[in-house]
Amino acid sequence: MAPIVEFIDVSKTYPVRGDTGAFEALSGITLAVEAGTISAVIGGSGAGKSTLVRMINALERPSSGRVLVEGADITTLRPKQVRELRTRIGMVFQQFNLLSSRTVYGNIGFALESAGVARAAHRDRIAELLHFVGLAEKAWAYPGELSGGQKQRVGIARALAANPRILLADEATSALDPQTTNDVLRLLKKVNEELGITVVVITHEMDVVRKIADRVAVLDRGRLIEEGSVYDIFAEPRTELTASFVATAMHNTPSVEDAAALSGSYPGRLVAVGVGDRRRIGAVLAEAVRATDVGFEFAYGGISALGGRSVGSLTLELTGPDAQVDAVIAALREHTSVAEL
Amino acid sequence: MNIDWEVLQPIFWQSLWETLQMVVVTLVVGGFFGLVIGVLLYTTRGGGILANRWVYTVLNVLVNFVRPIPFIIFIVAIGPLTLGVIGTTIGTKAAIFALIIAASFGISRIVEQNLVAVDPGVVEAAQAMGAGPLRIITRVLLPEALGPLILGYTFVFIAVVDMTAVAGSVGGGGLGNFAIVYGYQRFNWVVTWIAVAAIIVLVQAAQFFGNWLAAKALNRR
Repeated sequence: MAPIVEFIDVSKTYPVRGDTGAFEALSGITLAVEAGTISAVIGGSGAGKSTLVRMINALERPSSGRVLVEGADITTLRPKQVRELRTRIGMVFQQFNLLSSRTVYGNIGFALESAGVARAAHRDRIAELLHFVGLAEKAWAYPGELSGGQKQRVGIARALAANPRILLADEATSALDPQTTNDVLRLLKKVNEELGITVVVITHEMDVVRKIADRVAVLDRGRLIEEGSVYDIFAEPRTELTASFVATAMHNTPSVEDAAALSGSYPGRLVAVGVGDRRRIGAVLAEAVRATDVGFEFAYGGISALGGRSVGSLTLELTGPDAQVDAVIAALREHTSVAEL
Repeated sequence: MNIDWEVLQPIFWQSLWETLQMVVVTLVVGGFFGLVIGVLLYTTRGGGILANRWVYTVLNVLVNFVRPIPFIIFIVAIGPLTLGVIGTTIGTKAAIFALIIAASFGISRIVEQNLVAVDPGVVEAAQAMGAGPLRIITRVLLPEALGPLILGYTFVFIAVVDMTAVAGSVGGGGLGNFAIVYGYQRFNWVVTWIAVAAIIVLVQAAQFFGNWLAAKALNRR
């Protein structure tokens, strides 16, 4: 099946005021989003993730390259076609962006009006949406009377109003506390699973990626530096930036300070070993203990599960003759990533 | 000092009526044009939903050109235009013509400023839902800015009352004319004070009503 969204060699440059050059917000991005997935775009501030995702509903236009949404190139659409496209793509925002002058009912009603849904159909549809997001009793409240989590639920209900095929979530949980974040992430997952809507999540938090995404793209200063299944990215980040993002969600590799402190109590060589399913780390260690003079101790680490597969990192202290420790590290490297601290 | 109330009273009521007429017509017609120009100033600027550099530049220069001219000079300066359109430069009608033009440009800036204060994220959300420019203006921008807009128009009401008094001093009729002709020129302070008192009552009532209406609009959120 063709991807629902495709970026083909997409670049975006902004002219810089009082400068002959231009700021390159995105350069040469090629990326596909498969229908029915939850895909995340992660990056620091200014990485270009918002610009990239806003091209899906044509709030941003690429300077070069093509963006295909359900096969149609958004750069060739006329204004009327753009508006029609947007009714098929829902969007939720970090600051919710609800109309403060309208009730919850009116806010969802506005989305229905904009999508050209007949007024007679509003009542039932709004009731259905509020039920879906768990806010049935708040129909007549104004946004100012709602908590952050409730506002975001209204935002999601509004985004779903016109039965979109795609939902864009721009830092949808970044203004929420951890508990509310989990509730909203669960709701986004439900949108994906029960309604079959493709969800594209913009975030700067790897924890969000870990909790809901199937696939993740890592952006750094306008470049796509890594893309893959969430499991692969967590198990084997190929770049330092990705590894640092992973570390923020996993807390299983010691920081430089921790490593320095640990080496006080562990005089042997400290190595951080990636743990994943079918990596056979235990077997390598058992063989080392049986056949050589190498010993080991656990100094730091953590293992959790992603989609039913374990992933994590353990920091080991390896003791024994240098040459033999080297041999054990080499044996481990055949199965997994090993970093000496 | 001799005041002939028998004679003055009908003139006072007539003057008050003229002032009210000038203020209301100016506020309605000038308010409408000001709203349109203000919305255009906001939406045609760079990055706006109807971004158009030429329209914005022309309007912006026009507004900046007209607005700083003191009204007493403005009303005299556009005399030939008033003569061409209305047929005279004397009386309430002529004054209203000048008032509407001056008020339109003044109001446009107030409208623009209040629209700038609307959260751009809300506009972006409306765009993302597929709403067109007209729907965004009428269903998002104006309702979201309603409270401040009401206060802005209240402010304008009072400014227009002030302008009508100026218009009165150059033959425009109304309470300004009443105060000048029957008070100032006849050295009759009491008559002047009566005009002042009437204007104060008018302004207080308008401010009170405007505040009440704005609070109603703002309390809903």
